[in-house]
Amino acid sequence: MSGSANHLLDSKTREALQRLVWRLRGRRAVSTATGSERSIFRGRGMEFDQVVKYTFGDDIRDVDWNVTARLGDLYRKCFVEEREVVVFIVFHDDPALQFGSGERSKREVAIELVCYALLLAASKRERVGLLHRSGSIEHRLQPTRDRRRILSEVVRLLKSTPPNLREACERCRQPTVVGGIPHGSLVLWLTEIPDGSPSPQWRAWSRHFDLRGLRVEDPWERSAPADLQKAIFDPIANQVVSARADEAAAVAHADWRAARERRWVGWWPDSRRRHVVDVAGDPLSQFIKMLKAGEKRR
Amino acid sequence: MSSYLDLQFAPALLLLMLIPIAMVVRFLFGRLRVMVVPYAGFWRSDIGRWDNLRVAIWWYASLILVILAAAEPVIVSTATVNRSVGADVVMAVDVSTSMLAEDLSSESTPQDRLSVLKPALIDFIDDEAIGRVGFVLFAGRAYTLVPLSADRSWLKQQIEALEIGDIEDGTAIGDGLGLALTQFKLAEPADRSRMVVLLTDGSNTSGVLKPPQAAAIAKRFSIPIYSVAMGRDGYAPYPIFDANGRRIASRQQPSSVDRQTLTTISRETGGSHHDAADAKQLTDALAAIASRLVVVQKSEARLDRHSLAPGLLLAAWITMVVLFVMLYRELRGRTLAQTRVLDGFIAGGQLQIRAVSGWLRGVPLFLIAAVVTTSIALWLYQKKPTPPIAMPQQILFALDASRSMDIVDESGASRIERATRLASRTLGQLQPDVAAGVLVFAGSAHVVAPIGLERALAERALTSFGSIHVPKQGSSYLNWIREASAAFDAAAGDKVLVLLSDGEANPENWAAEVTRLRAMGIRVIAVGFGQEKTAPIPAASGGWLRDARGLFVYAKPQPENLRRLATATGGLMLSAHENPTLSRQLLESLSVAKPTESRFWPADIIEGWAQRLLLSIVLLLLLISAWREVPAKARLATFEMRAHRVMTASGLVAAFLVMGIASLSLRSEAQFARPLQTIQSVEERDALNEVNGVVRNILSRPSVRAEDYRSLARAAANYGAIHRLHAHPISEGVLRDGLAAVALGRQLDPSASDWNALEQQLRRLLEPPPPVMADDGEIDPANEPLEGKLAMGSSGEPEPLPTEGSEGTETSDVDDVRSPGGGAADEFGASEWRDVSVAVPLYLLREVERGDSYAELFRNMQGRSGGREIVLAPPTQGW
Repeated sequence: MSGSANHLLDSKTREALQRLVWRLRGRRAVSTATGSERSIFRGRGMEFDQVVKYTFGDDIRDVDWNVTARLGDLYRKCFVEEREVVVFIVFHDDPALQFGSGERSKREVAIELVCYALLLAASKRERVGLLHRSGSIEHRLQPTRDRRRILSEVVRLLKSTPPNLREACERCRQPTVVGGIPHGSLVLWLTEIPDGSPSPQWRAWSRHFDLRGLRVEDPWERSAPADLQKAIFDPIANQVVSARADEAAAVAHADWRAARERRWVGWWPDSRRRHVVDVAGDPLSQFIKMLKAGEKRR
Repeated sequence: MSSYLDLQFAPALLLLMLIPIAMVVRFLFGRLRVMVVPYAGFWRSDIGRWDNLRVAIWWYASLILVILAAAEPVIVSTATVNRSVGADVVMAVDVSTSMLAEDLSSESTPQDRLSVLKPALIDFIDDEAIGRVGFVLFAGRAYTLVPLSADRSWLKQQIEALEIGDIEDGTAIGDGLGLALTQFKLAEPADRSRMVVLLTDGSNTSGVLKPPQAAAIAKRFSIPIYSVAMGRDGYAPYPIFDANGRRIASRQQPSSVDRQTLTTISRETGGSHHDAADAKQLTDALAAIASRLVVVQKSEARLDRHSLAPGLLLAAWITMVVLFVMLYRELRGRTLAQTRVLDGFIAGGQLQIRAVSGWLRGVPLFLIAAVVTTSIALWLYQKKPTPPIAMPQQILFALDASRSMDIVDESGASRIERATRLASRTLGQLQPDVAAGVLVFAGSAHVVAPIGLERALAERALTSFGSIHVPKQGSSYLNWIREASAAFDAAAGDKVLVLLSDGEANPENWAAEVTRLRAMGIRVIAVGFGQEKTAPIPAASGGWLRDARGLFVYAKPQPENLRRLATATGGLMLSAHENPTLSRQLLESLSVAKPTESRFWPADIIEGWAQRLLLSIVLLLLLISAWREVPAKARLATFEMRAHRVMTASGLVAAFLVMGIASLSLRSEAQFARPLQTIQSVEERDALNEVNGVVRNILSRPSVRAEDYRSLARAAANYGAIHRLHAHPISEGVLRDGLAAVALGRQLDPSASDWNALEQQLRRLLEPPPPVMADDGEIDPANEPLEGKLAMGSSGEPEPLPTEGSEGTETSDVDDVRSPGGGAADEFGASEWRDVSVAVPLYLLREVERGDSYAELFRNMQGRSGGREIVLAPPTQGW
C-alpha cells in the first residue's frame, strides 16, 4: 500500500482494510483455500515464483531436490497461476441492505465480500473489474491487475456512503445485462433478490460467463421477529407498518420468504451458482466455501 | 342537599381549543419514531388507527385533565342546616325617680327598685333563648342605651352603669315602648322571634306617644309586649339623701302602677302582664317571660366547596406517567439492543435517520419536565399552607370632641361634623369582617362603641356625638391614647387607630404613651382637620367662647402632633383641608393593612397565580412533547391525501365539539350562578333609588357637569311625580336637592336643559297636595295635611334652600355628604302609612326617634356628679 493511499485513509477505513488483508494472509497459509490446488482461480500455475520450505500436505512433485540437497532440508518450488482469468464483480448497493438485526448490517457484510474478492484477485494478480451501483450512481472499474487501482477501489468501497433509503433503484431491483465483460469471465453478482423474473436476454447473456449469484441474508428474513416496540418503516414499500407480530404476520412472512426463494431460484437455477451468505456467520469462510464449490464444479 | 359545579377560573376552558391546534401541529410537524426494516411491509400488517391513537390518547387525556384542573372546578354542595336563632328582645326600662322606691328589697338591706332589677336583668339576658338584646331607657324622655346587640359583656357593662336621674324625670312609657319598637327593623320581615319587655313602676305621664298608640304599632308589626309592673300599690319606702348623696333615711310615699294600661297593651299585642311586688316575683316574672321566648329554627343553606383541581391534577399526573412508561418502553425496549437497525423518525412526510448514540437520545425530556412540574403543582395543591390565623382587623375611630372641633372652616361645616361624616362613610365601606369601634375624647376619653363586628353601636355613636357630649373639656391626648390602647384586643391582627382631630392637645407629656401604641402594633392614621390658622371657638349658646376674663378663646390646629403620632406608629397622616379624595385615601390606607403574619407568607401568592403559572408551563411542555415526543400519525407521500382528509374531518368535528363544550361550560356557569349573588343582584328599582344612583354617580366624579345636574333634577322630579301619583309621603329633601341641582346646572350651562320647566315642576311638587276624600267621607290619611307635615321634617317648617356655599362648589367628599332626600329613607312601607290606626302613632314615633340621642344619654350618664342631686318632689298622681 502506498504512502499516498495511507494518507487518504481514515483510521476506520484503514482498520477495516488491514483486518481484511490480515485475514486473507492467514487464510492463504492455513485455510482450506490452499487445498489441493495452488490457485483458487485457474488450477495449478506453471510460472515459477519462489522456493519455500516443504510442509506436510504439499505436493511432493514440487520438491526442488537441488535446493533440498544443497541446504539439507526439504524445499519445494512455488508456481504462479495463469494470468488470463478475469474476475468481474457486480455489486448492487440496495437500500434494503441497510439493515441488520444482529451486530452487522447486510451492507457491511456485502461490502466485505466484495473487498475480499478484490483483494484475493489482486494478490493472485488476476484482472479484476467492478460495477458498483448505488442508487442512481454507477461506478465501474474496468478489469485490471493494477494493485494500486484495486486497493483504491477497496478503500472507496469501504468509505462509500449508503444510498438514500427512499431512493428507488429500479436497476438494483431488476438485474440487467451488463456489457463490457470479457467472455468467460468469472462474474460474482452480489445483490438482493430481484423483484421480477429473469428476461430471455439475461439467460442468453449469462451463458457466456461463469455467473455466480450472491446474497446476504439476515435472520429476520428467515423467520419473522416477535413483537417490536415501535412502528416499522419499510423503505422498499414506502410504508409504515405495525410493530405487532400476530399469526397473520407469521403466515405473511412465510409466504413472502417462499416467494423470494422462488424468485432467487428463478434467477440462478443452478444451486452451485447461487450462494447465500448469512450475516451472523463468518463472511470469508462462506466466500471461500462458495469459491471452492465452483472449483469442484470445474 | 343539592350540588352544582362551579368553575373558579372558567376562561381556562378556552384552552380546550388547544386540542384541534395540537391535532394540526401534530399532523404537520408531529413525529413518528420508526425502525427501518426493509420488506417489513410485505409481512406486517398496516399500522392501524388504534396503533396511532394508543399513545396519543394518553397525551390527550393528560392535556384535557390539566386544562380542567386549570379551570379550578369546585363542587358546591348546598346543605340545609337548621340553626337555632334566639329571639330579639328589647328591654324598655323605667329609670324615673320612682324607681328609687325600696319596696322590692328586704327591709334589712334596702335597695331601690333599679338596683334589684339589675341582677335580674343580667340573669335574664343570659338566657340561651335570647339572641340579641337592646335597652331603651325612659323617664321623662326615652333614649336608646344599647341597640340590639349580642355583645353580652357590653350589655352587662351598660346595665351596671344604669342609674336613676340620668334622664329628666317623668314616665314616658309610650315613648319608651315606641323607641323599643324602632330597634327592630320593622319594615323587614322578621326572621326570628321578637318581643319588647317593659319594666316600669308607674303610669304614662309624659312623652309624645301614648302607650296604646305604641301598642297599636306593636300589634301592627306583631311584636308582643310583655310588661312587668314593679312595686306595690299603696305606700312604699323612698330614700332620703343628704347633700353628698348619702342615704340617710327613708320615708313612705304613695306608689301606684297603671296595671290596666299595661295589661291592655300586653294583651292586645299578644304578650302578657306580670306583677313584681318583690325581688322574687320580679325574677319569676322575667323567668316567665323568658319561657315565652321562641327559638326559631332557621334553616340556612350551608355551602360546602370541594375543589376537584387536585384530583384532576393527580389524574393528569398518572396519565403522564403512563405516557412516559409507554414512550420509555418504546425507546429502551428490545429494538435498542439491535444496534444495526436504523432508528429514526418520520416528520412532515420525511424520514430522518438519527445516529444511535447517547443515553439521552430519544428520552422524552419535555414529558419528564411536564411530569415534574405537575408534581410541584400537585404538591402545592396538597400542601396548601394552613393560612395564618386570620384575626379580624380592628379599627378604632378616635373622635376629637373638643370645643376646637366646633370651629366652622371655609367648607361651611364644623370640623367635628366633617369628621363624623368621614368616619361614618368609612365605617359603611369597611368589609364585614373588620371590627370597628368608636372612642370620643376631649378632656376625658370614652369608648362609646366597643370594637366589634356589630356596626350598629359604632354607627350610632358616630352619628350622635358632638363636642357638648363629652363631660370634661380640653383635649387630653394622654387620656385617649391610654383608653384606646386598652380598647384593642392585643391578639388581633392588624390594629388601626383612625384619629380624627385638629391636633390641638393639652400641654401634657403624651409622647411617652405613643410607645404603648407602638408596642401593641397599633398604627395611627391621623386625619387632620382645620386650616393652619388661629380661629375663635364658637360657644354652644351662640357667639364665641370667652375665658374668665371675657377674652375670646382661640384655637390653632397643630398638625405636627398628628404627624408625630402617625410617624411614630408607622401610620400615615392625611389632611382633610381641601382634600376631595380624603375618603378614598383613608379607605386605601386602611385596606393596605394586612395581618402581619401573612404579609411575608407566600401562601397568598402560591395559592393564586403560581399554580396557574405552573399549569401553563405544564401545558406548554405537553404541547412541545406532543410535537417532539409523542408518536404522531405517519404522513408519508403515498398517504398524504388520505391523511389530510381524515385530519380535516376529524379536526373540524373536534374543533366544533370543543367550542361547544367551552360555550356550554360558560353557560352552565351562568346558569349555576351562586344563589347568594342572585339574591344580591335583585335590587328594587324605585324612583328614590334612581335619585340615590344619580347622586352616587355625581359624587364619584372629580368634576360635575350640567348634564349631571339635569339628571339629578329629573330624577328628583320623577320621584316626586311617582310618589304624588301613589299618594305616598314625599321627602321634601329630594325635591330641594332637585331644585339645587337646577340652580347649579343653570349656572354651568343655561342651555343644557329646560331648567325653568324643571324648576316649576319641582316647586309644584313641593306644594302640599289637596286633601283627597276617601269613600267614607273622611280625609284620606295618606293625604292628610299631617302627613305633609310629617314629610316636611320635624319642625314643620320647609327647609331652607341649599345655598351655593354648602353645595356644589365645595367638592370635598367629606363635606358634601347630604344624602338625597335630606334624611333617612322611610323605613315603613306604604301600607303602614295608609293604615289609619298606625299612621298617626308612626308619625309620633318618628318624633320620639328624633329625640333619641345616644350622645345626650351618654353625656347625662358621664356627667353625674358625685352626690345625688335628686330632690324629691311631692308625689304626683301617675308617678
